[in-house]
Amino acid sequence: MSRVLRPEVIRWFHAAPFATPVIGVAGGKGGVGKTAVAVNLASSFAAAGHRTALVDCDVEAPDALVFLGLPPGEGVQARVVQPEFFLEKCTDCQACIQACRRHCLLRPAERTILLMGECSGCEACFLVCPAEAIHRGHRGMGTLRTTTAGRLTVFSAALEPGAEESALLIHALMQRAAAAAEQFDVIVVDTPSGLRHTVIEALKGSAHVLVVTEPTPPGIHDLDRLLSLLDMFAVRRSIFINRADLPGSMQDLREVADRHATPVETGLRMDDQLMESSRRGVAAVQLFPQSLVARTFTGLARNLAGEYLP
Amino acid sequence: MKEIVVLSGKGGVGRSALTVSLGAVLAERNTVVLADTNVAAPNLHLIAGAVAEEVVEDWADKAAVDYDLCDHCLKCLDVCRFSAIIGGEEPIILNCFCEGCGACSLVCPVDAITVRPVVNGRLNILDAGWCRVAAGELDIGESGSGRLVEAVRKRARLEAARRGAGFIVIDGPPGTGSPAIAAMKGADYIILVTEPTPAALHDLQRIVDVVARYAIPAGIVLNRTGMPEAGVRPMPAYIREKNHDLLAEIPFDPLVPAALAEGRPVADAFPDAPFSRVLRRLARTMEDRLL
Repeated sequence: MSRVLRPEVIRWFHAAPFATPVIGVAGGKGGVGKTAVAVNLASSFAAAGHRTALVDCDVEAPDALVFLGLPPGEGVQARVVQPEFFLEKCTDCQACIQACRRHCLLRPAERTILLMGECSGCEACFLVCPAEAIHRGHRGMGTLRTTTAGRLTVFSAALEPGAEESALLIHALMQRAAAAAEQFDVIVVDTPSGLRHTVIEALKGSAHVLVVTEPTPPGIHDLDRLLSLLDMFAVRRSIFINRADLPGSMQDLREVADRHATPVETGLRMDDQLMESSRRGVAAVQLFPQSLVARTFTGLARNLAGEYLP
Repeated sequence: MKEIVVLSGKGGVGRSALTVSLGAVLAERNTVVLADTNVAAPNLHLIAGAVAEEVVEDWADKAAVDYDLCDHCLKCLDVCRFSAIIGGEEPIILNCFCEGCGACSLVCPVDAITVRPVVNGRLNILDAGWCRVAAGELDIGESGSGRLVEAVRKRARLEAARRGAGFIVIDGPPGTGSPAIAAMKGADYIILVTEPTPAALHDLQRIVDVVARYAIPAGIVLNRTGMPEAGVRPMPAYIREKNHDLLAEIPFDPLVPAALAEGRPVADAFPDAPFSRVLRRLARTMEDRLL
């Protein structure tokens, strides 16, 4: 991706079909505490009386429900299209085989087409078949779930083992949350780690992104890259430093923040109560309402609500 | 030459620190090459203290519109299953979502769309003194990581063959999707790192289910035991059912983040640390099983 995006692409990123403000939580490096922050921020919004949605876009490692101790409940299968061949209609023209750039189609015998490889569901083969010999079949790519506990509703999705459609599943999950958006005062989006296209899919439409990091060299390295991504899309953001007392360099971290003109929120040091709450499957703001960690997230939610909620 | 890939499901459980230190202790008796296949957030080199020697660009197929030919019919937008084209006055390809499938080019009535390779990442060859490192780095926000992972592994094999290396130790990506699958295919052994927290064990189950599809021997390392929040013991039933060995338990060790901050393998910076002692036993286990 180029460093300078076309203005239409930046407008596309910020366009949303609903008015409910979205707060994204991202981190770059895995394990910096994204989900703990997202869960506690969402719980703080709910505790303050806001109808809150939490969308867990980390579909390869979906842990928001585990952090909240909520049962997964019934799910709905998300599917991706796969070609099905009706060989009695096949004219043996082999246009489908030429159209498949992944080389997934094989012709072992006359008028016989087999799907052999990892089909991405691009539908190029459908487009070129002159005989309508290819029909739309399906294969599951993941499970979508909606779980409600009081004023907090969690939208989550789990990628099927062996499936590779993380971005498509996040797209389906975000559409599901968007369809219900008007029922909520605020939407918090937890994102996958790493800086793939999946992060763009998850953060699209966020009014503000909370960037979670830690002062270790890998934490700072990935913070720099994530802020570069947010620069490209001109996204409003602030940094939440978690485990600020880990060995590393706060000075390096602040230099990266300054270089990307990004403010730093009041963060946390290594916090036993935050870890204890994750282990017990209850948001820290509920389990230890008087604790420093609870006051930190309550204050953060109050500030964000003041800025973005009507 | 044996390939060990280290995966975790959940990120931040100590996968990269373990990869580097396992490489360092194996390197006491063997020649070792490290590979970083976490191409979406590569930072193994920071932990290994490696410096870049060579950079090779990597490519992926993407659609491109010739606006001199485009007649703005936007048929391409309708057929793209990856939401990689946005419309308006004219179609705009979102390179990050483009899979290079070419469906758009098939429906374009004026042949304005071609699919062609575009640089979207690079392969970094680094040297840490005690080992070579092949590391993939996807451009920020890009897709197509599976291809780059393949390129990293191919180069790691080449480096290993040139040096007569006994082991390639591969740092995998977090998650269970295409990058993780590309990282594990063809490996001789998979080490699954986890920690005794509900989220890490939940994600471990997910990666165990993926590993089961590829019939590669795997064992589990339980990291950061004995912390205040540790509590989920013994190992859940699903681990015992899969017959994965519990290869090692590593007590929480504050010297691990201390070494990380210095950009040195723990086993090298603090050879007598509890972490390093367990890693040395793990290295012997790997030698016994694979050599």
